[in-house]
Amino acid sequence: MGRGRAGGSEDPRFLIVLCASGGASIIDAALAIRESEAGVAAPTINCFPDGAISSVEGSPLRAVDGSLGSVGAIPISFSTQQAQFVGAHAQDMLVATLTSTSVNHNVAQERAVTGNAAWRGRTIQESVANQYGAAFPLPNVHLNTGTGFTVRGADDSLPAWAYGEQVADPTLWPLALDGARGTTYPVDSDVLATARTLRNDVLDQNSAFNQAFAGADAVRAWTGLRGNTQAAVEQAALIDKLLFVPDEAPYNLGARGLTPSPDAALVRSVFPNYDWDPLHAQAALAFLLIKNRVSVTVTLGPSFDLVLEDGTSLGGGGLPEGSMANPPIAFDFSHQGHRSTQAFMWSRLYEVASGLITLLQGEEWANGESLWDRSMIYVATDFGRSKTRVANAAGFGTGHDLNNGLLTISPLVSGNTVLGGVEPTTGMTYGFDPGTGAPEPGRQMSEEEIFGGLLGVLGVDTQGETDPIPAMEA
Amino acid sequence: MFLDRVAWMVAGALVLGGCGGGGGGGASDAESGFTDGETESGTDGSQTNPTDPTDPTDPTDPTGDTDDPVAEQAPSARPRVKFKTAERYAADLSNALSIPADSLCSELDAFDCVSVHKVALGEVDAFGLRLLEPLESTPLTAPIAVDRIGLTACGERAARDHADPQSATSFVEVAGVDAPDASAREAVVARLYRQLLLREARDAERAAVAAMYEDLPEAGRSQTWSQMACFVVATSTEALFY
Repeated sequence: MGRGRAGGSEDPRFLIVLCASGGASIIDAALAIRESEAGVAAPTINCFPDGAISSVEGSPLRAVDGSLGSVGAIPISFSTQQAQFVGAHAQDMLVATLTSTSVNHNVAQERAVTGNAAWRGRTIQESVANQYGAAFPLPNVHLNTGTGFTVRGADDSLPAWAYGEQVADPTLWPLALDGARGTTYPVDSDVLATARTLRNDVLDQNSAFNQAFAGADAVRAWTGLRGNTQAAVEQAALIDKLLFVPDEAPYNLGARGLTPSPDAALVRSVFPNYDWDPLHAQAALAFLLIKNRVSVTVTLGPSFDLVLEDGTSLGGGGLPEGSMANPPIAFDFSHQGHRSTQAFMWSRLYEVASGLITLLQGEEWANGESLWDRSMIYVATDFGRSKTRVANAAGFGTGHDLNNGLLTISPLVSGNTVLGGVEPTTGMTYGFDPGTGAPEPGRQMSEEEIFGGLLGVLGVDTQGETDPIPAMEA
Repeated sequence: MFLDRVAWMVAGALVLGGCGGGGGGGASDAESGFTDGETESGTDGSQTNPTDPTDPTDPTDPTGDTDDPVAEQAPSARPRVKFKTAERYAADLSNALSIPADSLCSELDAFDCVSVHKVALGEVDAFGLRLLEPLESTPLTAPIAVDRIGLTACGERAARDHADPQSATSFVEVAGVDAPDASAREAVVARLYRQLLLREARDAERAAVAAMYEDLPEAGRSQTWSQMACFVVATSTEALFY
């Protein structure tokens, strides 16, 4: 069993939602199917030559490795190292099968974080923030944008700070954590405080505008954020802790009296493409937000945009290896080339997850416990992909399919575990008994059930609104 | 503890206080700092206390400026107020301070302030971030971003005026003057209100902003006061909403 129901901010769990936008197919990674298992269905089912799938000894988790010459129609060579990741982290990996309820990207993404409104519409991030985030400056930070994974939940009863704070640009966003430092014409904090007091307490309070419109929600929200809230953020000196860009052009922090975070070099070494790959930048800031006790949950993930290294030539001969970080529409590029897209994108997620795990393992929480020991990466995705292919084709396109599974990585989960299973002749996953964890062919796991299971792992008290799944908990 | 729990709880309660109870179809308005803050007549007025000397709706005018007819502004029965958002706010600042938009404000001398903070300040970014709608609620960083923009733009105007008093456009009476007197400072405040808020400053407002001079460090006080006098007006709630 897990650690039981945890308390508040003194004993938090940290949730990292790693968004696999577009549809990460679980049978192209941890639940991959061998041709020999599919039998006579092998030619038309999405399965792999036996030699392409490796298993970690003593683990039900699988890995698909290989080298490919393109991602869909994009000519770029790449290799995958799923086995390396699974080999390193199998003991913290839990796969649970799931059948979702929408093949619309935005709707499905939203349901992936709300459990299809399992708990009054609040998201898993909001639930964690509400449970643990009261003493954290920004409990719930969204580092990616424009997805259903980062929607505001439908439950309006939560405190305002539990809802997600949106970060547009992780490299420069920390500047907005101090009102004066690093600006072109900075002033001493005392001077700024004097001016703010005059503005907030005298001029604003007594203006005719305020007399007329102080009751407007927009004004009240604004004035509520000023004053103590603003001061608390600045007094925490987060600008000194979260800027991870180097003190060199174009940032030149020193010229404006700023310095990079003490951990800047470390996170840049783990996520070296931060200056052209938004996911690396998000991951770098995600770690710093948790490490510096700013947030209890962070959400990040690849976008639907093509991401190429600056200066990459689009001339003939294909793209240089390593020059593309993200294909257009991320996992959804599987429409054009399923196998290569899934391989490329799973590698991308594993690489970022591995970096975050390494960083969190290196930070002590207390008494020898690391930050990773109380963290969970939830690889949230829209849905699965269709399971069939043109006979014996290695390159084929797929559509959206409700049937899939999800991956969580954490010392808090029952690691090295697959809950449910996959029928190798159809590629369809089946569920499990939520009470015992025993596989149940013919059963499908719902979003509500999995949502409750995830919250159980995280120790969130749902007051009986959702049910935990003991088999998911360490 | 990392931060004072009480401070955060109070902050949360303050923001929640703006929620108006939530529930129902209009619940999302509760946090919508960038959208209409329409409320039903009487709801908000009932939360004020006419006998409270700190109550801004008190018709007796806590500024003591009893001759000023504006002091008796009644609370709006249906306060429809919108945040200007980054682009509109920057355009207003640029116009008011006579600084071209492209030199109004930069972050780290390399990035346009408005672009850096535009999402936090209510803009969308359809092509860059696939953000098709403004954020539903006001981010914690939004007021800080406004302060950075206001501080920089006002600092730029102050620097230009004090470097070349003959060409000053905002701080005419104090530019290049080491120790400007109260009347000179009040003249500047009056101009700032006209430039930034498009109205005349009330007597109490002129006096209060001019008096801030006495609270500032002596070194470079005239220019610092110029910057901060501009700042308090340019970042006032009145300057940010319409």
